[in-house]
Order: sequence, then structure tokens, then C-alpha cells
Amino acid sequence: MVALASCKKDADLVEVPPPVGNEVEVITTMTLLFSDDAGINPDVTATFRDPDGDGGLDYDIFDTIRLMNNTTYNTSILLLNETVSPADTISNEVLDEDDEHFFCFTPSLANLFIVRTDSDGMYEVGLQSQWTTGNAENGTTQIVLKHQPGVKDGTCAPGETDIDVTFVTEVQ
Amino acid sequence: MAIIVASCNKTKSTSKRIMKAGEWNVVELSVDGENQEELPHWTINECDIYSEACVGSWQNDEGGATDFVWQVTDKGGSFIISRQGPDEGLEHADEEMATQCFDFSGTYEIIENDRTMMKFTSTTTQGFSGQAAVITIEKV
Repeated sequence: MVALASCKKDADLVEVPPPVGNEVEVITTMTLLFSDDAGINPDVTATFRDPDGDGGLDYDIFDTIRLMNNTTYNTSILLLNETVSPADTISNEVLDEDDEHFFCFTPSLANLFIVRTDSDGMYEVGLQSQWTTGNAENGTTQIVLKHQPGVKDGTCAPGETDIDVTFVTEVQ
Repeated sequence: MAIIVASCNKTKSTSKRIMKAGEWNVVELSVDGENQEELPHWTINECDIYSEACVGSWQNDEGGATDFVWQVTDKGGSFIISRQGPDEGLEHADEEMATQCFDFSGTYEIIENDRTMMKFTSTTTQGFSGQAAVITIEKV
């Protein structure tokens, strides 16, 4: 009896497809848009921009938030990915997936109070918020966007951090 | 006279070894000697290495999973991992596995090849290029 199996070579192997990455959203830009609830004081904007996203080059815009004292501002957050052209509005994706996202605001100022005013139907989101100032003072405000798919519980603890920016904040 | 030639190359025999075990625990998943916090488990299905891309599942204890294509090549001397699957809209546990599997995707040298244990090393992985990535698997 003679039995010979055909001997294939490595060249006969099928081609391995290239690896597929888990797409991570790049956020280069956070802009805060403040509008005086009473319509008296002028609108305020403050922007942080790191043109190539986290790591690599340093930021090229990092505004100070300058608000008037004893004023209530309605505030919106705009997030952009400016590494692509035209820029991708990441805040729209945050809104689309609002049940997975949560903004955390931590002001160091004693008389600055921030409340989220939007909701995913169960928990707040923070794309919209209300900032109420007291007397003039200076400090910082940390804004962190948490990505919490499947684990959002209305707190800042779960999930991964999508962006974390601390703005110098002046109440004049 | 009886002449029987069964296994004629090491690529095939090593591939068979991986398939035959089917279930492997990853007991080392390290970069420059530092082990990952979460060590996955692999499920490897039977496949024909010469006619299809062989797929395994890279899983964690939280129910997260992602698929990867694997291949033994270089006459049994190399092992390729290539993470596959959707790139967005993943649940958290799946996202963890997708990221980990992608980061460790690459071509590894097979430095130990035993029926119950195999060890691979690479410095050209997607996530840790230039660093020494090591994967050690043990048959469940």
C-alpha cells in the first residue's frame, strides 16, 4: 500500500485580511457657547483646540472662560474632530448616543454652580447646561466627557474618558 | 510494502494542534514584560487553512468578544493574529476585547510549540510596535 498526501506549501495559504481597529473618536476641539439667560450680557465663547488630538502636538487655542458675575448662562458644548476636512461634529454623535455619554463639570470657584439641563430620557447628558455665577472670583473648571456604553448610571465613575479639559475661569 | 505519508509540513501540523485543542487560556499577554490586567480566552474552530481564513474568538469573562483571523505560516515558525469585526457601535465589553485584540494583532515568532502550551513573541504588533509583545496560551 502506498498512500501519499499532497504536500501544500505556505504559498498556498489564504491571505490574512488586515486587522480592523476599533474606531476611536478623535476630539480636537471643545467650544463652550454661553448665552445670558436674561439676554443682558453679551454671549461668551471659550475654546480648547489640540489640532492633532490627544498626544503629539500641543494645543493651539486654550481660551479662558470669562463670565459676568451674578448671571445665569445657558451653555452648549460643541465638539469637533478637525483632523478631517470638513471637520466632523462629534457632539452630534454624542447626542445620537446620549445614553452612552455623560459630561462631568468640576468648578473650583466657590460661587459657580453648573447643572446639566438635558437628558437621555433617564439620565442627564451635559451637552446643554446652566452656569450660574456669584461674586467675582477666579479659578478653573474641569470638563470631562465620559463614554459609558452599557454602564451609564448618572455618575462620573463608570466608563472611559473621551476628553478632559480644565479651563481657567474668571468671573468678572 | 506500506508507505504512508500523513503530515508533510509543519505549518499544517501546528495549525492542527491549535485547532485540535480548540479552547485556549491566554496565561500571558504582556508588553515589555508587563502583563495585561485582563487575560482573554480563545476559542478556535476547525478550518481548512488552505481554503479559508481561520477564525478564532477572543473573549473575556464579562461576556465581551471579538473575532480574529489567525494563521500559522513560515513553515510553522510564525503565527499571525488579525482582529476582525465591526469597528464601531460595540458594547463596552466587546469594545475592550476589540481594542485588546487589535493592539496585539501582528506577526509573531513561535518560540514554544507544545500540545498543551504555545508561546509567541513579536515586536511588530499594531498597538506596541517596537516593544516586545508576548502571548502564552495553554490548552483548557
